[in-house]
Amino acid sequence: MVRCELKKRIEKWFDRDYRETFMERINLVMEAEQLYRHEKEGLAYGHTLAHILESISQPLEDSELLAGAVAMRIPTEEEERTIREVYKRWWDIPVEERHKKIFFYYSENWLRCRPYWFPSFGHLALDWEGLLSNGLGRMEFKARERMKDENLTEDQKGFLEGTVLCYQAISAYIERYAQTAEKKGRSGMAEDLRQIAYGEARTFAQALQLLWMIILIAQKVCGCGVLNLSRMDQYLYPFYERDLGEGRLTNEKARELIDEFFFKNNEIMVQTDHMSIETDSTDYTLEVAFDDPNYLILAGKKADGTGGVNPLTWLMVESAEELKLRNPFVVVRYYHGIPTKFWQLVCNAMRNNATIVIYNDETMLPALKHYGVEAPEVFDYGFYGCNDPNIPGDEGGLRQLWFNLVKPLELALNQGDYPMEPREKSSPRDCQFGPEDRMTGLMTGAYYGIKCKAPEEIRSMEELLEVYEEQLMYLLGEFRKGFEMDFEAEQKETKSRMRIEDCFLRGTIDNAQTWTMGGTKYHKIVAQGCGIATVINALYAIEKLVFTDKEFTLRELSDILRDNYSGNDMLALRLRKKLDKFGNDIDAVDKYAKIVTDLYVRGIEKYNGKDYLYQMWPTYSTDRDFTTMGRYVGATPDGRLAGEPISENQSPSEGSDISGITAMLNSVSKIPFDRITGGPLNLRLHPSAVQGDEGLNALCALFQTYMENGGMQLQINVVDAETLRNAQCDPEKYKTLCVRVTGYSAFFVEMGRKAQDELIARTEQMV
Amino acid sequence: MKGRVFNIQRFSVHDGPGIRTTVFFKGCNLRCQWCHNPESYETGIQLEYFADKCVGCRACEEVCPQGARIQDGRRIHRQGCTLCGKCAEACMYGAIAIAGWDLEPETLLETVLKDKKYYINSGGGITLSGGEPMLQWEFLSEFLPLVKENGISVALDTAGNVPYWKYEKLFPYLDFILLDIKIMDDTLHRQYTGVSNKLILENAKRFIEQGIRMHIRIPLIKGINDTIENAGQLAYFLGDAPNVEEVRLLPYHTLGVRKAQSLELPVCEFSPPEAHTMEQLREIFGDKGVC
Repeated sequence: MVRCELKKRIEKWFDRDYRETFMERINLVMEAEQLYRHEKEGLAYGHTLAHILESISQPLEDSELLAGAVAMRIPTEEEERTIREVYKRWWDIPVEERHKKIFFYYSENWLRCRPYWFPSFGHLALDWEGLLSNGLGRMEFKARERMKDENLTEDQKGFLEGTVLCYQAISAYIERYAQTAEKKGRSGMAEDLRQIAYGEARTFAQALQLLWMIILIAQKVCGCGVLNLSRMDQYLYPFYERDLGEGRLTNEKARELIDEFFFKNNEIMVQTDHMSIETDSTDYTLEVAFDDPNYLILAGKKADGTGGVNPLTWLMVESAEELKLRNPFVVVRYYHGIPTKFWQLVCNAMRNNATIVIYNDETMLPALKHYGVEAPEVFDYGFYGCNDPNIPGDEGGLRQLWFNLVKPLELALNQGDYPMEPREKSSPRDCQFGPEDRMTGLMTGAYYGIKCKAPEEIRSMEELLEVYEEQLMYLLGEFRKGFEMDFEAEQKETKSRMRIEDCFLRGTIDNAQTWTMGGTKYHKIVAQGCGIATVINALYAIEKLVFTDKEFTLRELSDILRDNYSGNDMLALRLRKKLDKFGNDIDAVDKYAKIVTDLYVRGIEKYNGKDYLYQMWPTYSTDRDFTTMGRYVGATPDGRLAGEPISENQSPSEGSDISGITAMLNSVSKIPFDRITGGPLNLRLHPSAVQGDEGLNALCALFQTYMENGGMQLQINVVDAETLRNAQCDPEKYKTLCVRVTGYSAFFVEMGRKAQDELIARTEQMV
Repeated sequence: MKGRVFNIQRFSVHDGPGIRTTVFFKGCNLRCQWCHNPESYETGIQLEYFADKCVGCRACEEVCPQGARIQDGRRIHRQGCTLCGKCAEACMYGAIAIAGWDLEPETLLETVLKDKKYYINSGGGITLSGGEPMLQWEFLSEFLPLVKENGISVALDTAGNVPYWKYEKLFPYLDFILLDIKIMDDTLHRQYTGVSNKLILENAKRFIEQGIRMHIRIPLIKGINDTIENAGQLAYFLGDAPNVEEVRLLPYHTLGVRKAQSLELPVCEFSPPEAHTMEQLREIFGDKGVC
């Protein structure tokens, strides 16, 4: 049971104003710009952090079990205006200029509140285990020792100096919090804080306290969000077991601490839905920590091959189920032989709409190994952000590409041209991926391919697939070219520009190199394949119409598509409604799941390898950008009109899976997931389909079978469209209704109208 | 020989334990007025027209060799219909459908095998439903051995109005029976289902004596069979037979109304019992009662 005091805090938190802002940080950052921006980069970073941590207030409520919060208030209009002007000065600059300051930033939202000399975008896991076992003091000592190396360059020294300043600043901040706690009469808490200010964590409570201090600072002060908290049930277990054995801890107490820790992860998030950029709250926010949740990884196989479910795993799932908040985003890792009772606990929590998703070790481990991840760390794999794979502590932040798989097909049917904006009207370009698209990873606007066979020269499906592959290879090659150009410039421009995460990763201090310079063991680009179902359906449609039924020649079909089915409305309708589609367990269609995946993986592999520091890891994921990406693709042979959305994540095209959920899952599991490293499959289930003990039994078996069949991931919303519509009408009543959007959960009423309508539309056709 | 079905529903979780594929056979020898699958009445293949989905595009008229016409956007002119299915194929809006198709035992087997792993992991299997699947007992006696060879559990959902010896033929392949017992009073039974319940109750008795695993199912219609009296008689009739594992009370729903309209059948609309009535009736069946 969640403690009464915590419940009250949660209720209060739901009622907060979205304008509440951590004003102290902003004011101190603006001061720091004057004081330190001319210093060497490492020093400027460390001094800025110290400047903030020395002065921010340290709120501590009587009911808090873990210390660590910041003071929030609503800025005056005058303050807001000033801040926005400063942000504008920092970032409202030409792309080329921006490019020199920061290379990858995902979206404007992420950029705007981050000072250019103090950036961090998170999307990674720190070496949590190392942090707990070494403590800040020993980490600082290690960095100092490393500085004695005479062979270091000035940049390397500058970076190490910066890390030392950061460790010191954090230790001092925690020590000050110990005094704060002492003054409030919380001597136990003060003692814990004093221990972890410099030393290692010795108890379960100290471990959570140290983790929380680092998360708070990294995320709320430095902007290093979207963390993978990694396998807490594994690395905290020794503390838990020892404390229980020595009588310092009970299960109830452990659960209370976990609840507190989970809630605190929510407490610092802004009341927004970051993917609904049109909402007032998202538009307004001045904060670096958005609503994008931290991921928590539970269960899964251990490096010795045994299963990782332990009593802490249970406690954490129970806590997530009862709290039903969006943070942390809990990933339960399935493996063959996972204990049945635990599986029931997980499925039941999912049925009750807890923020829990399932991943499959049996496909993920081979996939990651395939892309070069070694044992033992491969067993600690996890995720952050939008279902992106991550090896905790061994990787820096996110670099990504949303690869629109439908694009190469359009190019293949048009000899490399883009009908919605034909090539002759556009100016020549060095790289198909413009700077803006490279920085955010999203393919927008016109893309052109290489000149290939004309449709009338393509005489079989095999030949068409060859042309598709040519175009796919070309686009991936163009992406790689752009990426390497940027990376080269990044290395030149930002040699010692550190980020807070560099203090807490494996390899950065040893190598005296930031992760952006290559300090960690792994460097990855998440290559998210988008529109898989649309491509599968389109290829099958061509096979049927052109090569089997010979109703059209490929030239005729491509002309019809070029004209966006104009004058052929009935044909578009027929293709949409009557042609077999992916998601119905029909082998003739589903075979393209493997064909397309094999081609995609082959393309990825062609542009991976020892010539590159960063390796692409393919996933199937669109986040909510399937609508944006669809806008730039003309009509497709599956009856989709120009500009309409492409298919979402791993789901069949909207409304096309009509043969029941098992048929749908059977289709999706034909994707060879042992080569795919992440991405979500959203299921929407009507509450009546899974009610009672029988419903739970069915759900457990459904999920288990999908995993056994080689499925990779599952996440569900058990809610009917009517409930969602009621929530639109009466948001106040439904403010706690938490739904899974794609790689994150959102409170439904905080989502933009468009996102709400999308979810309702997709919910209406469920079983 | 071929079987005639009108629907195959995967991930069925309400027709017996676990995850099941329910095969709905066409043809029935009862005419329950509240039937939610009225397209199962007739053995023959039928044309369904859903006026609510019709947009009036007249694509069906263009392809019909018999010159069918949509009248007032409310009904389809069926005279001369040969059930060729061209109209259903041409309709993009799901307004016309052909109810019923024929398939070989092997074809049906192929379909139900697709979810075999789900059955095994959930303790599920297949459910034969309808209509009255026992009207096609000869097809079943060809089909079911194939199913059992694959180790799949089989449930038979029957209204019980078929000679016992036909059931006996299938016993070796059946894991359990879902038996509908709608009304205990024979006069009322005749009034609302068109037939006497004599054979149904006789069969029920023999199933009980046989020791075959059974779930009893009662569709409950307000003001007709949702009485304490009816439930009490049924409970008495069932006694404490250990092989009757559950008595499931299924409140009436209106899903059948639209389908009846699509076939131009007389439409009777009923109401489900009140929630508290459901609860009362369930209690009569003690631990075995399920809502």
